[in-house]
Amino acid sequence: MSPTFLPELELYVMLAVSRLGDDAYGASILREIEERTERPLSVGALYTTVARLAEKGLLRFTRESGEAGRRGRPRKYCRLTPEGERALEHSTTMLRRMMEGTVAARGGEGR
Amino acid sequence: MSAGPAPPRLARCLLTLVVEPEDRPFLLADLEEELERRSRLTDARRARQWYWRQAFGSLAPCLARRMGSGARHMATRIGGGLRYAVTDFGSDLMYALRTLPRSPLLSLTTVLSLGLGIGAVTTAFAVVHAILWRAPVAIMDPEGLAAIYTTDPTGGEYGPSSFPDYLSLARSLRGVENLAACRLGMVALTDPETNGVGGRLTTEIVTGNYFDLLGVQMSLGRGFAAEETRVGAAERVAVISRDLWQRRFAGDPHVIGRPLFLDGRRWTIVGVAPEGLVARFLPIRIDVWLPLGVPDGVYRATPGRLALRTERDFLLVGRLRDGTSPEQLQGELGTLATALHGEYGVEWEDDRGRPLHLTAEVGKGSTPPEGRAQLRTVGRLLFAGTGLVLFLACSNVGGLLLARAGSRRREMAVRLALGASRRRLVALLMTESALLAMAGGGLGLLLTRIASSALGSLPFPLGFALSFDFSPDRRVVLFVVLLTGLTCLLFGGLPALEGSKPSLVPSLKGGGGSSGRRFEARRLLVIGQMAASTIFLVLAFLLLGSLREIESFDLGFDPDRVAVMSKELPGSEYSSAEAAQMLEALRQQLAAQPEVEAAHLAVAAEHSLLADIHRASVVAIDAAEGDPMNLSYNAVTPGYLEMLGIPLVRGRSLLESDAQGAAQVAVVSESLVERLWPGGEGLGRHFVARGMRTGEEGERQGDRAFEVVGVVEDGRFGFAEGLGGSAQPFFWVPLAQNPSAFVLFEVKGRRSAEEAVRLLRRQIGGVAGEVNLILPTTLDDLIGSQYQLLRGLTRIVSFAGLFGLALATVGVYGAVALTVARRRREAAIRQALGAGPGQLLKLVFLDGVGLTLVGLAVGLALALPAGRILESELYGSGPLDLIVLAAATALLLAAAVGASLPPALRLLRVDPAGALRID
Repeated sequence: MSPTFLPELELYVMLAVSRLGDDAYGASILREIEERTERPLSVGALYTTVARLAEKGLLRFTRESGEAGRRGRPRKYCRLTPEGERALEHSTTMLRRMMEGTVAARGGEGR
Repeated sequence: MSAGPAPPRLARCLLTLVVEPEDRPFLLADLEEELERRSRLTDARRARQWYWRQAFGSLAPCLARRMGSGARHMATRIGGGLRYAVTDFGSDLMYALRTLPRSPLLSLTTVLSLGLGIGAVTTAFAVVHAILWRAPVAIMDPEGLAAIYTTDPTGGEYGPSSFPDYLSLARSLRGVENLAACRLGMVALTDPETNGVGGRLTTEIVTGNYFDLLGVQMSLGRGFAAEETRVGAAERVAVISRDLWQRRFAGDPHVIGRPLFLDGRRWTIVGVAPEGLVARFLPIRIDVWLPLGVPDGVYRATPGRLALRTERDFLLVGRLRDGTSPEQLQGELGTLATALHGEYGVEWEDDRGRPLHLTAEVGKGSTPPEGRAQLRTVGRLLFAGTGLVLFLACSNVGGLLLARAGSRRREMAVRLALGASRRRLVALLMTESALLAMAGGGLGLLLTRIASSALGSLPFPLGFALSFDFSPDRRVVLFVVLLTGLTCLLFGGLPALEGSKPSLVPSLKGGGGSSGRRFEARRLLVIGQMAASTIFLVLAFLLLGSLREIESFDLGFDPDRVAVMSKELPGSEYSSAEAAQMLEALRQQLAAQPEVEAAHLAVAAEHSLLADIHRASVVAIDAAEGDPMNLSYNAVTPGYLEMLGIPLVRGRSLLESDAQGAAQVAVVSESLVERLWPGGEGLGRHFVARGMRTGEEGERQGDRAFEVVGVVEDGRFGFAEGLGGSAQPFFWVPLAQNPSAFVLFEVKGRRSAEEAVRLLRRQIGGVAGEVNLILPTTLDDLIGSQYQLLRGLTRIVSFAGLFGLALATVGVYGAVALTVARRRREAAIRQALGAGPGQLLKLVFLDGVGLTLVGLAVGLALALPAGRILESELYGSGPLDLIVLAAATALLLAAAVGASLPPALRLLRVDPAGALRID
């Protein structure tokens, strides 16, 4: 199957997961996206997106029960599957190619 | 460490409802983490606002995900249709809001009746739901928890386990990741200065891994560490409930490390439990959690008792290991049980010598299966009873609305004539009903809140401070909503259909033209009301019968002027000889008081729940082989039987000479002789009792032989046997030969029991360091407190019966009045033709009485099985006899005649000329 294009929010989530590495779970992804995009994101939308990505086989989860260090809060960690890595690579490459020489490409640095 | 800010409850509730269950704990934990961070960065108020935004923002994506994408198309299509419906609905609603206050009495009666009915059914639901179905609060993945039970000595499947067995299982059981033990207890909150008792607390005594295993997240501080609960070396640390934290420490954020004085000892608070955490095996509110294994023990969990394999006090809970099936776990338990029986022999057998076994229950809620079965029966009864109340309310309201529909026939006819469709009229009428139903539902929910908190803290027999958490949660709210909808259809449907289809011409002309079917509907309602109130009245009479019996029957002993209180001397501080000496010294001190007639020690109080703690399995030594009888006994000081006025039939009573070292003797009731040696005298014969609690630590004993030296008249000495039927066997042994660290002081005052109660409080209350299970009270009150539940039930059912009767009476009155109105012309013609008053009365009178008779027949047919269930399930008393049935029948007939008479008499006053001239 050839990699498909990722919608914007899915792309953001994949990028955040990729950046956070071993520490990618609900709250950290939410923070990452909100801080970088300065756009509010609801946790419900995030979980829905993550579930969709998992259905596509781009993400997988490990669930951890609570530990004393974080007041026993359970976490659901996300990690890119090899397929996910490929899809992300593909999408970002396409994005870069599309942006080359456009105003948008300069706008990113110009601000 | 401080507690993070609590998420807004409503927002959290909203999220819980919409989020995919699989993601729920993670999503909520993520939000909580972020909430905590944000409240550190900004302030609590803004953080909470953020949480609310998150909740609202998550609604759409979560719902969309749960409904699937196909549903989205549907939603848009329905939306189009809805827009039209909404405008109509809006105007209907406005109209209903304007018209309902115009008949305030009708609206008020409707809302009150519906509120009562809905409240009653919902309370029943809340109680059953809390015990059977509610997922435990504050516990991680309750589905993965496994409860492990040992068979109890009388053969029951789901009994508690002993601590040594717990250790054996914790060591070798592979099917669970971790195993914890817990038990309930009572401790006294004491004042460090005076050692006075400041109230009793319910405690759960747990192993150190308990909170970790359940995944409980403390509100404040920490739970216990596994190493804190090594037996004999555990620290005196305590986790308090959120409620106790608020009540006693005013929610002090620095409560961690503060002392708490329990049973005269200093404990250190290390944690505050999350809200809603209740006992493991029933939703009982716990005030404080204590670790098992503190050096001198706490409430019966003393190191000495913890070492006994036969002391089965603990409930075990483990977490099923990933990849293990419940069947595998059960298989492993079977092997372990066989091994334990092989190793410990008689200690691992029940009273009939059969090996014990172990049973696991995985993820089936926390109440043991036997309890669940009982609750299901009680639940069915509750639902049937409250459902009947709701039905009464609905039929009453339905009747009222039907009558109103009759008076509004003209309005409806005008609307029809002006071109309104029938559907619009039904919608209009249903909107009114829905409005009434919603108000009723709201009131019902309010009543449920009140009733369930009142039920949760019902006074327990013996004055135990147990209280249940029946507080309604979102499922209860959902239930109310559904119930309200159903109710609305039930009471509003018929009137709406009937009211919207009058025949145009006669209605517009203003005549009385009534359709036959509307009349039929009313009659059906009256029959239903009569039937329902018959059931309630029969049950009320039954319960009243039981109550009368309790208050009048012969106990076989005289509790007059006797006061009672309990005392337990901790085994760690006193050897059993010292304890016996000290208790005897206290007894003599009491007996020497001028206001005291007699003072004695006993281990149980006859005919109280306490009589049931001390039970033994008894067989005759020299008689034919027979099954052992499980019965209650008491160990007492000489003179006790005389104090209670229990008459001796033959032989002798217990004497001072029956001391330690002398032959083991017992005084028995006549029925015990009859059971063990039918036809014999009993004196000088021997029997064997197994399972008496007379060891150093109050533990169950093996076989002990007794010689019968005296026989007393039968009485209601035990409690479990219930009220009806024949007297149950009972026996008494000398306390000196059967010592106990736990005793009751029973003191007979010269003038009154109250005086003796005051004396006990003064003389014994100040002795420090022990548990006061039963605070000083009169023996009468102690026995009477056990029937509070029955009294309450009787009051409620009688009230429902009278409420139903009142409704039914009004119903009969209405039906007869309608007949009278309808047959005025007929009556006038008959009168003109020379009919006498008797014939005229018969015309309508039979109508009301006829309805009543039909209702009565239906009601009695249903009341008989209901009464039989009540008889067999709840109390073995109050025979369902002719007197009860006749009384209910007479009451109903009297009400029916009374209700039919006024309208029927009105018919006699009809002026024939006037009545014929009207049309």
